Amino acid sequence: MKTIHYLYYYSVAALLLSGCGFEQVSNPTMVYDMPVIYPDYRGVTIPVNIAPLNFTMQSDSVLLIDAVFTGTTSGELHAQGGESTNIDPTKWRKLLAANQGGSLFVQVAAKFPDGWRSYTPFGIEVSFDSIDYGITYRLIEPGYEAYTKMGIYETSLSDSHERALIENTQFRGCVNCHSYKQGDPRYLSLHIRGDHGATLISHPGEGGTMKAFNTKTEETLGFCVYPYWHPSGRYIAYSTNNTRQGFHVGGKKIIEVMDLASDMQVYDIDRNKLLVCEALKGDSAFETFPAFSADGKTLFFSVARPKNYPTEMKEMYYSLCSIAFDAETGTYGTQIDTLVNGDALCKSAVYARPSYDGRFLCYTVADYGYFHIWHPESDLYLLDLKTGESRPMTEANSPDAESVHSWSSNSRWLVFGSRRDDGLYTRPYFCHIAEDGKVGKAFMLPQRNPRQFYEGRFMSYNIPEFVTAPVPLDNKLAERQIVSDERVPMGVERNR
Amino acid sequence: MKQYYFVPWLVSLLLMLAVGLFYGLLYPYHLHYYEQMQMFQFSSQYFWETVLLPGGLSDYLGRFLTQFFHITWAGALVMAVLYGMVYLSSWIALHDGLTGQNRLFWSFLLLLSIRFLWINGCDENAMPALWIAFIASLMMVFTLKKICNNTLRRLVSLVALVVLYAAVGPLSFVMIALMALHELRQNDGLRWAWAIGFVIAALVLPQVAHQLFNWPLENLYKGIHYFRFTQIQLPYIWVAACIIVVIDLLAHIAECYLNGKEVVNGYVLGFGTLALMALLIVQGVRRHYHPNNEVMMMYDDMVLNERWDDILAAASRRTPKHPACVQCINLAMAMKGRMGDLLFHCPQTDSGALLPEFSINFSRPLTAGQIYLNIGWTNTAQRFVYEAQESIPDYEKSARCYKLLAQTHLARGERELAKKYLRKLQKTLFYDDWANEAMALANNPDPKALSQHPFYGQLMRGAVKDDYFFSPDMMAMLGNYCTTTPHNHVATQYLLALALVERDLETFVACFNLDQYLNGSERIPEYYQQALALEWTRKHQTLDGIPYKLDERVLANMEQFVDDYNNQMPPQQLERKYFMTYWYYYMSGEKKEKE
Repeated sequence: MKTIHYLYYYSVAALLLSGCGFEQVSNPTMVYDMPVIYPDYRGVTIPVNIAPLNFTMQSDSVLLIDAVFTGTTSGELHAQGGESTNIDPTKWRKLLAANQGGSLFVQVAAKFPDGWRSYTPFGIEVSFDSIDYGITYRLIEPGYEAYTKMGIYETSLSDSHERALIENTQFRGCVNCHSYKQGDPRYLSLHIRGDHGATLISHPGEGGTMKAFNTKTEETLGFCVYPYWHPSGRYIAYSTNNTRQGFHVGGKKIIEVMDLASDMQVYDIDRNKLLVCEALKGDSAFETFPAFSADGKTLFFSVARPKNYPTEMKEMYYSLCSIAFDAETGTYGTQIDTLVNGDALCKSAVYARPSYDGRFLCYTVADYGYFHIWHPESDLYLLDLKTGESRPMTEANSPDAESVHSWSSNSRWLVFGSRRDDGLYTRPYFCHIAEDGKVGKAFMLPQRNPRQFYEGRFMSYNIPEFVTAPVPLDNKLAERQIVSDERVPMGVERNR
Repeated sequence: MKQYYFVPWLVSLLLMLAVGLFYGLLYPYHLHYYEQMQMFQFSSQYFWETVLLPGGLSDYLGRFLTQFFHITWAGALVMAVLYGMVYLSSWIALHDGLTGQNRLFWSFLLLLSIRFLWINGCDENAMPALWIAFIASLMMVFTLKKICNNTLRRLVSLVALVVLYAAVGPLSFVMIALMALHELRQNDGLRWAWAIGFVIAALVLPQVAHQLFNWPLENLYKGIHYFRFTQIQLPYIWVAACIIVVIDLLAHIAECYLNGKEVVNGYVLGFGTLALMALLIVQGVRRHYHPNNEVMMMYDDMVLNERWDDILAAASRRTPKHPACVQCINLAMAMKGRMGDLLFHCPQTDSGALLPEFSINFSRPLTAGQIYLNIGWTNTAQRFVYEAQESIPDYEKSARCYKLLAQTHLARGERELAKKYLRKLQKTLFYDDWANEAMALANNPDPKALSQHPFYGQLMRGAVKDDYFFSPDMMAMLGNYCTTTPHNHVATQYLLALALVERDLETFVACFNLDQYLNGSERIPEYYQQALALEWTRKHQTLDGIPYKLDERVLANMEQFVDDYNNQMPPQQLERKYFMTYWYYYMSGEKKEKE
């Protein structure tokens, strides 16, 4: 049967290449239901500058897919393909531009061995809001203590082209937490673990070349871990975590990541000092995942009371809190406010990410703990900072894990990692968030042949972050700095 | 002296025979090990992912050939042909320079490079790509020398260097070095300039590659695919390469100096050299051959193929001491229900020989994963397999790992994930049948298809019901598991064995009640009898009133052991007499602890 499929695909491809056009959809059987397609693009909201949404049919026995995209304003695009639709990128861009703020109706027909079937059309909304240039993320295979090839990669959202920014083949280590200032790729913090452990920081300011730092000091808990840039570009908030892993012998979950201790600190780039807040330091509470507000005057973070592991692991509820931060003086406020009380809800709220327009704050909620990407129950929540109301982002959530989200620079798009595809491999999904907080249905990062691409990719997209332009990372310089033993030490300033 | 062109061919045939026998008889499990640590796929994606690196094509061809190592003698044949071809191609590449009366001597001297290649091949991490790289480079020399026009040959040589570097990696430097020597032999005013140019080009090429690929410069000079560990490389590859170049140089100098004169009788010198080379090869291979690794790989392979009887038979012939082997033997005992009778026939050092903890390694966690899978701890087995997969140092995927991952995901009811791994296995030569069967199972919407399957059904029924974390306290974890799945005979045996090995007789007796022997309907295995007798004696000072149905022989031996021990029998004598008894194991450990 497969051979027949291949023969068919090749003959179709040959037909297309010979310039004879599309095969006619003849005498189709009407199916009064929308087609089941992969990825599920039915009813999604997309930006005007997104790459073509090629898709495949869920059924393996489809021989040919025919899709007609009709704009509500104007334009039509016809695409056909064997395993996947093959949308012409130029025509796609024109169609989206002509229908910005409108919709596309997609009429799908599929050829099966017994003939054509035509499905009920589905809609795709084209938003007025454009999306950033691309996303960067770490690609990593499932592993817990050992790691194989990995790296930080960048994909352009307008054409799905991927390139490696840095890979661990260059220095044998682990690259992880990467962060940019509100999507500005000139401001980068990148953490390296292993024999060549370092935190690389680059910024365009005075003396703004890339430097490798030793972020561990005698006065702080350990290395800087989870980063977040201050909007001014002068500060980076970091958590410092003494992390352990626990492995479930039974049940559906595999792993728990937990802290034996964690603190929070802000790094002042100008003065090369870690600003430590006494109120956020110590053993009485575990703070993690810091994030500055859009105006830089507030520092959000998650905090939990220490528990006994592993017996009380499932009672480890993180709350979402905030503390004032004065960027002029580099000092913290004295009062800690609770935005979401994890103990009261018997849930754990982590990974606060405020939108850059100051309106919303997105976070994830799971039953316990803080490493929610390993929790299938983990969902995205949206807190309206104007009204203080919080709600689950049902339109974007799935029965599987959603986490590690990031806002686009115009605050209208959210990228997040979701495991809805197969329960293990995290894939990047995007959803539109309107000014009034209305959330659009999420869609998966488009690919030219999505099934072939995602079936063949045995790596998770870890911490996808928007970037407004290609990341200007000189990876040979980075390699030299990582491999060399030179590390810039950080000073510490206590802040009461 | 006659030309005797057939002699190198004859030597290469003899070499192939020797190599084939070596791998087929002495290193069969090394071949299987190679095969298990990779997964060659017939797909364009796999091809492009592999070849788009310096040396990628030789790596791709090496992986293609490695898949045949699945069958021992096919693997031996492949290795034999590779060695034979390296020797032949070195002779073909150099033979126009090996002129004069000493032609046989130089031809046989080339076997010296084979000696070092073979020594390198004794290591299980030497990758087949390097043999292919040698053959390609040397055959390229032969081809280039055919070009008579000097300028054309030199230009083509430079292009060939780039192409060959991309295809086979830095062993292409052998080609350029030989071509540089060849140019020096030309009667041409530019010969030195071209020869130096060749060397400079070879030195610059990795620098250019460094700008294009995310690999350290060091790897681009020494090769990415010649050794499984990309950071380490045995020096023998480069010794072998240098020998070929030096022979070419010396042969030329010698012939210039001797001017066709025969210093020693050409046959005596030639065949004397052949005998010496044969001796040196035997000496080198004997010194670097790893029989212990072969034994470890043999046990691991037998576990993979569930050859439990063969494992026990091999262990009874010669008991290995390495914990990795003991782990396999212990599993075979449990699978055959013989742990209680055979446990201390093997040296049980600690609980790690029963239930190993994770260590960052790409082969040991695989054995450990098989143990946990057979016990019924699917999550733990899967974790170990993922870690093993991640630890493979050349970033290659393992067909064995993918198979185990598909199995564990299916057992956990994660059909989509299982299918993801199965699709890859469907693109292999030796795993596709299995993958097709498993795929049919994964696609079967009837839940009974899995739950009533003899393998998956058993795993699903024996799934760990309580949610707790893996901890070093194996006894507590296993005890908990056995309480909820009392019919898991393998797990129960492991629990009892763990208690015995840990010298925790109280737990042993407590756990023993879980087992089927208490009602006395079945014979109690030997070591359980010994442990029960010991524990009863420890508590009651006498064997009177013991509630278990123990053999008279065991009771008599126990009394004898107590007498001998109390009468302070010399330790060596005690060991000789009671070495395989639990009593001796228990007392010797207790004594060590006191010391």
